Amino acid sequence: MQQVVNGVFLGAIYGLFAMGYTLVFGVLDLLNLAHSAVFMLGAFVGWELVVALGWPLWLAVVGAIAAGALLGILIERFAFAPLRQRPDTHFAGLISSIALAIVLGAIALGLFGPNTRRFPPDTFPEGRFEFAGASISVLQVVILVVCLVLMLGLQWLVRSSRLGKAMRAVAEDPRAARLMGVNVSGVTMATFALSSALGAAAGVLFALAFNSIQTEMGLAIELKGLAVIVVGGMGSIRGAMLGGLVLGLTEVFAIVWISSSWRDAVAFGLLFLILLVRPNGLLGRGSVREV
Amino acid sequence: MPEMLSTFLATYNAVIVFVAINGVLAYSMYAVLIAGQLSLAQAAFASIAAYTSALLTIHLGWPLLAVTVAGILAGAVAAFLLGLPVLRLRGVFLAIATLGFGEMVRILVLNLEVTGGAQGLRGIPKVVGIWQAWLALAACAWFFWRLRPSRRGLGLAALRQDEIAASAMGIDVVAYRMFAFVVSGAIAGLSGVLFAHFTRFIASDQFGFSRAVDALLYAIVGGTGHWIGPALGAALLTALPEAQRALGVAAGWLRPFINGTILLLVILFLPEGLSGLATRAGWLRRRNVPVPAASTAAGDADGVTTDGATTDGATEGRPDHPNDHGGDSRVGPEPTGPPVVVLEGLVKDYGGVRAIDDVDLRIPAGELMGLIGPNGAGKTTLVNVVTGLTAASVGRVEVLGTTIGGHKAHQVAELGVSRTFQEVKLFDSMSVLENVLVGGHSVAHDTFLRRLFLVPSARRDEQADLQRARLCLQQVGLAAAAELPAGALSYGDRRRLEIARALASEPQLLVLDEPAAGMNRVEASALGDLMGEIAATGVTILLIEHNVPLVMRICTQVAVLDFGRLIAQGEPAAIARDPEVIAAYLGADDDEEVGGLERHDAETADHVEPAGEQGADLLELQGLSVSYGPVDAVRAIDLAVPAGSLVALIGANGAGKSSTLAAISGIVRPTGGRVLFGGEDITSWSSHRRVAAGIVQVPEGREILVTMTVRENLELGAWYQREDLDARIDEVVAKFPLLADRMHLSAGSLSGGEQQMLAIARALLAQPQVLLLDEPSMGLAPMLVDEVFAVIDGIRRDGTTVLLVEQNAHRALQAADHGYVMETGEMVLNGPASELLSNTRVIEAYLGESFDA
Repeated sequence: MQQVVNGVFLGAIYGLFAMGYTLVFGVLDLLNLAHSAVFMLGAFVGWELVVALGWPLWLAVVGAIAAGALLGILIERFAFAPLRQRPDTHFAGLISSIALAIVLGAIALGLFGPNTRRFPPDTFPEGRFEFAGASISVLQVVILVVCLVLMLGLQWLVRSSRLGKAMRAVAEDPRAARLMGVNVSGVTMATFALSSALGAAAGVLFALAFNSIQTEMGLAIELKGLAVIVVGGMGSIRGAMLGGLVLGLTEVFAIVWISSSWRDAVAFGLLFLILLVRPNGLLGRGSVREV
Repeated sequence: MPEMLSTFLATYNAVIVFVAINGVLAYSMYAVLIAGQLSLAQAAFASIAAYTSALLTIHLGWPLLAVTVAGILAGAVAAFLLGLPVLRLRGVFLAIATLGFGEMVRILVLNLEVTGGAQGLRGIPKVVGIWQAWLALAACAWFFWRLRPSRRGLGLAALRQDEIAASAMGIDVVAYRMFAFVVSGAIAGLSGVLFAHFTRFIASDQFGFSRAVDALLYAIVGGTGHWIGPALGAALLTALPEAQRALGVAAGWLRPFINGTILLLVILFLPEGLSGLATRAGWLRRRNVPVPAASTAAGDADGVTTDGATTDGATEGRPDHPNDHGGDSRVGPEPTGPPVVVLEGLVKDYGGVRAIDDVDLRIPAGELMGLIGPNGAGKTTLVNVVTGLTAASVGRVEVLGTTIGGHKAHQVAELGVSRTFQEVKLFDSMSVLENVLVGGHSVAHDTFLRRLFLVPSARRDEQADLQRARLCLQQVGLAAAAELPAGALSYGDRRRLEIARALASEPQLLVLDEPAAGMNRVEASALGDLMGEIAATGVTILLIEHNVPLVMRICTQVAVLDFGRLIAQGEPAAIARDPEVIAAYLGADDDEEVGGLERHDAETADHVEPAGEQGADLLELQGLSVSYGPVDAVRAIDLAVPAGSLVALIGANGAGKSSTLAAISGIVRPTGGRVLFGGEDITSWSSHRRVAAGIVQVPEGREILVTMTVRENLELGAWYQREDLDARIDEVVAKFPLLADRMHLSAGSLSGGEQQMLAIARALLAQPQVLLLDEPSMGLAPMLVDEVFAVIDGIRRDGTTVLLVEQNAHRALQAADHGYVMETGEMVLNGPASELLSNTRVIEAYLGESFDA
């Protein structure tokens, strides 16, 4: 039971991170590899707001999310917008977002230094309680709730809001969306902002959960995030949630049943298998764009 | 001097060796990129080879040469085994699957005993130095330098640009992708061996994700357009940290910052990387196949083909080719032999839509068979079935004596079938000559291995292939353009090049899909002559064409498709008189007997629409031009739509009607002229601003958002007019009772007619001042066409101004106050709709002047 709880907890953060990835891919058909840099910067911004400016934790999380949204707009402007007219946008965008991730990583290194940072001990409540035989900390519960709220919020936004409808219209047929009056470049920017806000939120929650922040923290989760969106189905938001859960549980049980050193091999083995059996992922839609 | 050099080599030994090691890794990435694949397994292949070779050296004492071979083999075998399952994935999915594989290998290595686990493997003898590493780099560069102009190299380049066109040229896409993948694995293996035997120590994390990304960055920064690219990219990015150290840039954040910035600038501003820059600056020669010296007369420089060139092209290629592998089956066809194509009960469904419905058709050898029919009749689908691009749902397809079932496109091409495409599918970044060489893939010589070792016979074979390609170019009059990139050709030349490319395989059946689309009369006529000449050499031709007069003039047989059914087949003269064919093209109305066009005079006399309360021009085009690259779609047209009127814009397919509407909606930027709305110049407005102002389009093909519900589609239509949304949706839906009980169904579940109604309803919710309707009757059964026109009439009576683009000229003009007629991008006629209805010039615009009923 304890393992299930741990797995769900880990999976929720993976899922939150991956939703940002999958949102940009689903709406714009672009893979933004600077997403992990946003994750890392979100964690640092949260730390700075709490430790250096003395903001309360909840406000710092909100601040990190806002900073993430801003970063998303920057990424869109610098790494993707200039490539929009090129025939190889998809591929070139992949590379330019890697380049921007390197630049952002370097800036973080310059601003925050190479040392691991930790939140001071009194940042969050320390309580623990027992639930169905498992020991859960209050912090874990809070993080889980925040993840769930953000995921469901995004789900609602895409399904029911005006912006969400515009996003889905752009995802399906950018030309038709334009003909109906949707401002496609506005929607593109909003999609990046939203995606990066989620990435930054995942970063600050991850930092709280494991109480460790360093400039390299984006690398590991980048691969996990890719695995999650493939497992769940590229572009599917519910798929990202499900994929995060599957990956979180797989990792935890791989540690229990096999060994911690094989954890990632199991995770990526699963990714590999799912790609071969269901190239569209568990909840992925078939490719809409046919030749 | 020698001392200085040796001091330099000693001081920078590590950097110099690493430039080569990284360069080799970059070539392994290059190997897949030139085949259009993105793989991130390169580091894993390098890792497998590094450990294999290191263990063989340490435990068995193998010498460098032996472990190098072993490492290369290990990389190649690993790539082959990985390629078997993953190569059917495309794009990002391939990248992620190979990335997953890379991580699995890394963790495997980390956890195995024999690899030293997390401690890594130490004590590997250092047997690689500058010379060994640079020899390896030179070998890679040599390999790709020799590869590019060979049949295999051109095939890979073609595959990267357009997989469908490449397979239609007879290229086995699966085998070629695997070739590239295995070569990539072998070269990655080589770099792993070098790495292990230079650094003397290897550990799993040296071959992780970041190493794979490094390989990608070297290859991209260097550029994938030239074989020198990977070496340049690796040299720059490897030497950069060293240069920064020499310049005193502090370690820490600044170096990665500079690296990342340079990389970003290269991607954004140098799409072809460093080698592309060098090529443009003239330091490097573009790596095209050199054009051979003309062996025949030089009088082919320009203009349309001469008869002499044609016969040369058909007869001269063959005797030169003793090894022609298609030789046995490619003996010149008899003028009237067995049928080349036999279709029996052919049916093709696309997800519920029946594109072809029970077609029986025979194409006898030596015929020039025209296949005509309105838009959406199923012509291209039929051709795709015949050429193996799609499989038939039901029925029998026999091509050149072979029953097609489960055949891939390249296998059908091998039978002796070649084709052109409706939307030109050239390999744009390759030269004109190279395009034709790729077209000759199934009859050309595979000289790559002989080229690699400079065997002289390769050159002779290549010259023969080049001569044949050159003759094909002469035949279509493009010999003078042989060295230009195909993307730089004008539209008509692109069409001609496609034909030359199709001829290069010396086909028995040539399939041409709308070769004259977008050409003017003179160009189309010259093209017709060319097709006649090709047919005269004994090639069977299946010609899909919208230019009916052209078909009538040159074809020996004509078949007509309508709604997926074969409605007529026979001699051109008989087809031209067939009432059903005329009705399919011009549309007929209910009370009119499906009959001759000459009845229009009488019929329209009593059909006078009230002019309505027409005001000033609400929408006006002044000298509007639209171009897509070399294609002029719309040429300086004027058009005025008075407020409250219904204006019809008619013309044959490809006349520029949809491009005109796209320019009015702001979807394409006009290349000249102005768009005025209510007297205001809106040419620079964004598309959403125009919608907000009331310029609303119902696009061709409806463009319903099929993953959303009917109601969501309607809500999106009301993007700017949101007040009283529910009431207005109810009001609009009241006009479309069909939609009322389907509001919460997905729009994709609607039938074609319902989707058209939804598209119109969606546009009405935007409260249009002027409604642009693009081909609202396309693909609809006659009864539904009536309904659509009734709806349009209603909209117009409600006071909305309408600009209607239609292929169904008869119906459009009946509904309209005023009509405009476009032909090949130009406005050829305009006047009151009732007058146009009886104007024979309108019929000419559709069926051509040579047509007489």
